[in-house]
Amino acid sequence: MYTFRFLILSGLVLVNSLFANSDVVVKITKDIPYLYINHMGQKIKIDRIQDTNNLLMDDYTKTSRVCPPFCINTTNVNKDVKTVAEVEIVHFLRDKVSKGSGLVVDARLKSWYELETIPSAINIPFTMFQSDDRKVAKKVFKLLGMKVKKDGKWNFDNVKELTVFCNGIWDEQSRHLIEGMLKFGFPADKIFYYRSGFQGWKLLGLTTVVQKENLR
Amino acid sequence: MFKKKKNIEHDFITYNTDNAVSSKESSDFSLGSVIQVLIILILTGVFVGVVVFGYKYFTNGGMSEFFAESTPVAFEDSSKKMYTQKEMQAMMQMVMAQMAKQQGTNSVQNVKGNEDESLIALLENAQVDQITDIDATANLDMKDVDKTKKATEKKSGNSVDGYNKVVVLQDAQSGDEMANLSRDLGAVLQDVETKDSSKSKYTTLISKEVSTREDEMRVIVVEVGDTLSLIAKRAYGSITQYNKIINANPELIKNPNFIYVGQRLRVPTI
Repeated sequence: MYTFRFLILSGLVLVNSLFANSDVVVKITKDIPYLYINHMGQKIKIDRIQDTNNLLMDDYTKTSRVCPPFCINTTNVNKDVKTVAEVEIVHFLRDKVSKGSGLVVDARLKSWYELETIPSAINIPFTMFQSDDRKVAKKVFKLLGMKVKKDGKWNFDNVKELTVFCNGIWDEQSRHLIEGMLKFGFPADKIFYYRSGFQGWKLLGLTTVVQKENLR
Repeated sequence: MFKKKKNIEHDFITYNTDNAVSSKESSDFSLGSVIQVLIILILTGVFVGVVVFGYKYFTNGGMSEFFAESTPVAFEDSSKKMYTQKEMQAMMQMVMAQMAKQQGTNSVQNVKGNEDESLIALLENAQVDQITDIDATANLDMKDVDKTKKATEKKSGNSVDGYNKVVVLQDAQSGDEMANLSRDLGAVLQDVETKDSSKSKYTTLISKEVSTREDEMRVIVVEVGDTLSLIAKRAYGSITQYNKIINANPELIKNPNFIYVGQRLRVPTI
């Protein structure tokens, strides 16, 4: 009798803990409900909006902008640069960014970046590589792990892998950045292009970070 | 007293009539039920605690206020000790003094509460041309407003809103590798921009897009005593514009009367 009651009670406790675990209704993938990532020294939880009735109401629901210049992007920006989507980015965050061998790069202007961005993203505006100044490229590449050999040649062996994004399908900023970096010899196989971009990220209700709030 | 006696008698009888088998069974049964009762008591205790804590937390709008409000209780359990008449008298006097003190503070609080209520009533019955006068009275209570401002500033260090946005404050001095990289890249960017300030066509066009986005992402933080019309007054300069706020915040469409201190509401300028 005593053991029977004890079993029932422990069973109840177990069931309760199961319910506690299934709090995440909207997971990122089947296996990943959420993940933590470092953003400028702060631990950020990346998850999705749990309200299944939630709708976007802001700028990222806009359907039409004047084309050109805001046209629909091709799938690939360059034949050697791989195009990726959200699941690859989540894996990239977990396997590469958290271990220091990869970076998520926001190719948009600084003002866009400060307003709202993907957690852990670092800002390299596409305007950095618009000029033909090799010195600027050298500085940026060095920060990303490029080494200068004795004969003056650039060695990209230990350079970080980059996932580049901008506002999304209608925006050309990542294309400009990627083309600029390739122009100065950055290896194409170390760059990934997130075509859906920030709009795609927002559309799935994923966590974003705001660095400079437009506070009234 | 009589009941107790009865119980003792009952116990006495059962003890005396026990044989070996029945005593074993009964003790086993009682151990199980004792554990069950204990667990149930603990669970109910935890539940009540959570409910009370949650209620206080939500009504006060923050942890800090919850802890600040709990007044220290310094009374000891007097029932275990016998006191002389003099001691009792002294204690009574102490209690009376304490009560008088409490009544004093209560009356002050009541006056304050009445002021708030009258202000709310005033706002509810307000005509549009009376607004400036009400604002003048509302500003009288700046002390409280300052308090909540501080509280919300603390909160905004790392707060998540309904749109899954985390507000992070930039900390240039943190020794984080990523923060350092970001700062170094920022320095390079500044160099580039000072050398060559000419903008391509695409840069100017995308800059225009960001300004619309900026206008759209404007937020306002709810303060103590705020109503939707007061927020509309702060954001748009007129209390009749509260519809704009409702339309921009889907959670308000469901229940426009529920706003809380520290809540971030979108107040787009469009």
